[in-house]
Amino acid sequence: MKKNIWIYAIALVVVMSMVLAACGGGAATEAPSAEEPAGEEPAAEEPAGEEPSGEEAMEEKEPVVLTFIKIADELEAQAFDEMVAAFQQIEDGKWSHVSIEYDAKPFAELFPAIETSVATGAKVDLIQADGPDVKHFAWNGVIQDLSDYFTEEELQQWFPQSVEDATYEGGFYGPPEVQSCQMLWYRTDYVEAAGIEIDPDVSLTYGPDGTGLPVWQKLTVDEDGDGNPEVFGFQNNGPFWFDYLNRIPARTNGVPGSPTYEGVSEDGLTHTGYFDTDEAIEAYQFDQDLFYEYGVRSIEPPPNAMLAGFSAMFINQDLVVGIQRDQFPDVEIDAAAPPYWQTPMCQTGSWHYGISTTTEHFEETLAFVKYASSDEGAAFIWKYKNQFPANINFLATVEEYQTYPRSLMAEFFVEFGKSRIVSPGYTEYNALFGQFYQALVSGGDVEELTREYAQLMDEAMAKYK
Amino acid sequence: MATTTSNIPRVGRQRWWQKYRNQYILVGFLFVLPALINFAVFRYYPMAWAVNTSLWRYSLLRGFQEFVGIDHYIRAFTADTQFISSMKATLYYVLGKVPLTIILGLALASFANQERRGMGLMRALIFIPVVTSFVVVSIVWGMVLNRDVGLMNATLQGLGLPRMEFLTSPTNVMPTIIGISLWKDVGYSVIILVAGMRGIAQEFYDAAVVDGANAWQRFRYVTVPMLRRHLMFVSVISTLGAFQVFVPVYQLAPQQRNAQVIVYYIYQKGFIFGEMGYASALSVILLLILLFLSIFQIRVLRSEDV
Repeated sequence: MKKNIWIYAIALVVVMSMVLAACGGGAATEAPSAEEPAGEEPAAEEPAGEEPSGEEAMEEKEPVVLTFIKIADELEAQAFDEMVAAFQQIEDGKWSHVSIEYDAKPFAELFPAIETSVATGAKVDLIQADGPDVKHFAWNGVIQDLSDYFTEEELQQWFPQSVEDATYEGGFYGPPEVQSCQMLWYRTDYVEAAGIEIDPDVSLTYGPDGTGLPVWQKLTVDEDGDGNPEVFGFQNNGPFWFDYLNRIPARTNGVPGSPTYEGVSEDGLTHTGYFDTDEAIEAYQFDQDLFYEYGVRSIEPPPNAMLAGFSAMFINQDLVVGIQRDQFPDVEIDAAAPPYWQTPMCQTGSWHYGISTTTEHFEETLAFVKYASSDEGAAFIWKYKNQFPANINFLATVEEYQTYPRSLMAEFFVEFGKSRIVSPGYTEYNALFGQFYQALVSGGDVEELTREYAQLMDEAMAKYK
Repeated sequence: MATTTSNIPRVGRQRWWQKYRNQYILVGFLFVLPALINFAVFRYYPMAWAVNTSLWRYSLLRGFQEFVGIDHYIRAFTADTQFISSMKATLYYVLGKVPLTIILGLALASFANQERRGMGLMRALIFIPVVTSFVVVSIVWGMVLNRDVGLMNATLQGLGLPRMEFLTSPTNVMPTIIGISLWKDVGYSVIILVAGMRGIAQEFYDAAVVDGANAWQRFRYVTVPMLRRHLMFVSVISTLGAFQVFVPVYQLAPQQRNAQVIVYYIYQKGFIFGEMGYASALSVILLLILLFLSIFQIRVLRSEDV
């Protein structure tokens, strides 16, 4: 009896240990591939064996799998699949032993996921970084300074804004994947019905006496007169608010070089005196008035507000063209240069390839990054993602950017594209900006809020000093 | 001598029993060992790690930087007004949600405990929100409560009432989140309370009827006292859950300062502001608050048992 108890007990412990081990091991090994199965396809290809590239390339090389933390985007995943397959063919199959495993996260989770990966010492080679976050990652030593690996000539293949987005304290931290710039998009049917003629080359202007307000008032439709318009004349983001779109009006109320226009001190750490200038407050006040006093803007717009017929005009990047084609093929839209106060501006929105400081495959990762950011690599991204390329020469070959309205966006970008505020604490700033703007949208005292949040932003930057 | 011989078998029996009991305990211990390992690895170790981290300036990207002792704790109570306001928001949520969970749970349980046709379906309907994803539910509620295109406001307007800003108004956002959470969670309390009601012997009600008690009096003087332990369980679980609310705030009102509850604030400090050391200190403070509350509630339960 005693023996039996012991045998059962030991057997139980062994079985439970095996179960635990099985559960743990499975989770650890399966997690990365489960994120984005499509991304694994190139890895499944026979690396060097299939290459018809001569003796040298046929040399037995250890397969190298690069881990790439990136945003979850089905179209982009397809682009990378094809790009990796092409990369394996270049230089007579020199990189045919390299494949990529993706760890794809939704946009909101990407930043925390990168932080977690770094903290847990996870093997990461490549990081897809949003433009303003490049400086944050650089300051924290998460990505490598690649200045020594890119010549001046190579840097000139991209727009200066993209290079600026990736530059921190003189170092170049990652070539760009794509860019973006905002335009004023509008529904042609609503504009025609209101009898309005839009000159695409002439921007509307903000302010109570600006040219935009009468247009938006005319476009606002409240057929049943219940005080709740069926169509709002104007929309800029919402119901969540971000620096990328909602800071622009305030910055345009300054002239280049002024605190209002630059948005933050040169070291990126002081907001008081930049965020809360009189011009900025004037612009934020007008933003709020568009909701309440003039009633031309919704405080809680639904997704795809303009395409769904809820607003007549809205500010966005040219991704809207793809959404219109895919989901609203019957809706006709057009674009004009975005509105401004004193100085025209669109805030640039680049994405970059950053090489992790912990990579054990620097040579392979660098080779891939160079290829991905080259004109050839950019072609794959454009093919699937249809987003504004950061490569100057490649852009010149894309027919869509030679014709209106995308040509207008490209021209506007070149002339007026400006990086979002340059600060290693951009993430903290953006979180606070969202809260600030929500409070503004909720009807708070604009001047008080602006001053308070400038202070909070300064406090959040203290750790970088 | 006689004494000695009479003692021998007694000692022997005691030893046998003790051995048997020890083996029994050992086997029992082995059965719970996996759960203990799970707790140790996934609960106690992270807790100990958080306590240690709270004493350091630490960020996920830069690691441990500087030992700061209890500075983070001092900062939380003396210099961080947002921490205080997030605690107030949390308390607002707890005080709003927990009593409503108990009252509504009791009412729905009384209703769902009836033996009528269709009650199985009713119980299922009440419980369905519990098993649905809070993320999905939050998105759907966000659409329903939208000021301009939401179903709720269309209904209000149809009834001649003004449209409401459920999620964008600083004053309405918290009651709205409490309401959504209540809808989502109350089914769990109902199931616990229905199970409790099923355990009350019919004799108590029969005796109350004989004494002339009406329906309300039977509920007040029989059902509620007999459900005391279940109600206490529901209140403890609801309180702990309410203090840790995160998903509806993250999904529906992440930028509303009035809705910034403590767990969301901790998340923001740790992951967005890169202050994981400070976030850990806030987590430890929250842990202590919850420990204190749990001990208090359990003590109350025990004292009523006596």
